[in-house]
Amino acid sequence: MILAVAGGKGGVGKTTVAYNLAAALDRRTTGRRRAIVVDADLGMADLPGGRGPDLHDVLCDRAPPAEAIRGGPVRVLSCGRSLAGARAADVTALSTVLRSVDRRASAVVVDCPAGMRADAGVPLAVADACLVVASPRPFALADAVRTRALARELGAGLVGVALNRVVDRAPVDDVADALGAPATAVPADPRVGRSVATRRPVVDDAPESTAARAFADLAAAAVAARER
Amino acid sequence: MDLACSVDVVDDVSLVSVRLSNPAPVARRARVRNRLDGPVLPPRRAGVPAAGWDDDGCEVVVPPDGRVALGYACLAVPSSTRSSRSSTSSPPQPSSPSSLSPSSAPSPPSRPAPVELAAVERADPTDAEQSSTAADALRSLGDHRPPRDALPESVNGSRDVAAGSADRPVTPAAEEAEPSPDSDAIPADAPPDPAALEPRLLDPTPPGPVEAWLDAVEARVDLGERLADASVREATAATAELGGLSGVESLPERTARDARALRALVERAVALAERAESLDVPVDALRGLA
Repeated sequence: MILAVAGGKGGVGKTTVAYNLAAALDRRTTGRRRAIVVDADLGMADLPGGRGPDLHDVLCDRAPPAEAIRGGPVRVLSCGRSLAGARAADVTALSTVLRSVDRRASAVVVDCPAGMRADAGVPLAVADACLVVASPRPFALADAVRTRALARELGAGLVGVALNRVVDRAPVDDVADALGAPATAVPADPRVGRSVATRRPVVDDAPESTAARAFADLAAAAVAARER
Repeated sequence: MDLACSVDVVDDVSLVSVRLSNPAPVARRARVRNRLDGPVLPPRRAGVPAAGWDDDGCEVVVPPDGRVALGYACLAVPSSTRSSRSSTSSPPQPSSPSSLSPSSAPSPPSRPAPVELAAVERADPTDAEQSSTAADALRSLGDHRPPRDALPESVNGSRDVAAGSADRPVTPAAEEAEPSPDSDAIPADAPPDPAALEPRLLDPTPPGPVEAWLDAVEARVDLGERLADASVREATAATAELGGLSGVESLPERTARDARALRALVERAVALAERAESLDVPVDALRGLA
């Protein structure tokens, strides 16, 4: 399953949600195959990088996808950080790359960039399904609706909405009605906020927390949609 | 379905124009196939062929009582440069406007058309929509890449904007009679400015000269890739950037050399990185001794 984590606005927490969602998906699967998060923000890498080839190298055919996947609490295929790499990377090759990674994984979670250019659209075109991340504030719903419309146009059905960094009550039911998919509130838990940088997904770090349960619910929604 | 076509030949490239007209009261899908002895160079959007085009030609839906015009280039010259028309409907139609190529001979005998109608069928409005491809997304959403001018190094590496060097282009030494302390002659060789080192320690990108070399290699590979899948215009521009045909001829050898150097670099770099990461400098002990 290739699941695109999208959200038109920058800074809503797509990367954090993608990372923790992959960890939550891992908890549901038995067997050796695990979920892999792919940082598809070609112009501005979000996930921590490391040594070795990255997605820019893979998209320029300098390295096969397998060499760019790194292990850890969550398996990651991170992106390069140079403008030249972003310029040279062939975004249409992303479809072959994602399918190749999908064959090695229990699921591929694609961290999409913000915006509506080809770098955001290609992962949606390739993905089997999409999860939208939105701020819980009222005006952010319009962005979520636009992102869902783009995903629908490109053939990625919506499996769920994550309202991220919720402080007070979130309009979960209203959002679910508006977007036609289950909505889950992810609380503004500092452990979630630092989970990517510290490489400690909240489902491992604090499995009984509300945040961990939220990610478990999102993972369950994704799996249920795949099995329909 | 009526097809009329014309060919203009420019510098050994055929520019084929096709006009399809559908006299039927229903929409019809036509498959237009290239018959020239060369690959089709289709119109492109955001770097990918426009919708409906492939290596043989294109598939297009012509509305009822409507017309569609399309065109492509082909790296082949037709045996005759005279325009021609063909039709799949039984009665001959009045000839449609056509253009003669500038290099056509006077009144040559009729020759095969550069294109043919390979198939015509009714276009069903309930045809299932094909799933979107990456190329569809690219065509409809547009290019996301940073512009070439935004890249830190030019092709010949004359600008060095690595952290720690002046943000000014290298000027020839002859322009300055006396080099001043702020002179930017060969910044890469100047001792690193301690004040500028601080951000460099946090910045994992390679230093200026290495970045310059990598970008030069990337530029060569980029030009090679452009040439590999180029329209005539793109190939001409890329060849000019390489300094002519001799530059193109030497490019494969240069990029092979680049590949070997890069592989050697990777091995050395990985080994060095492992050593650097496993360093255990006894700072506290040394501080105590100082």
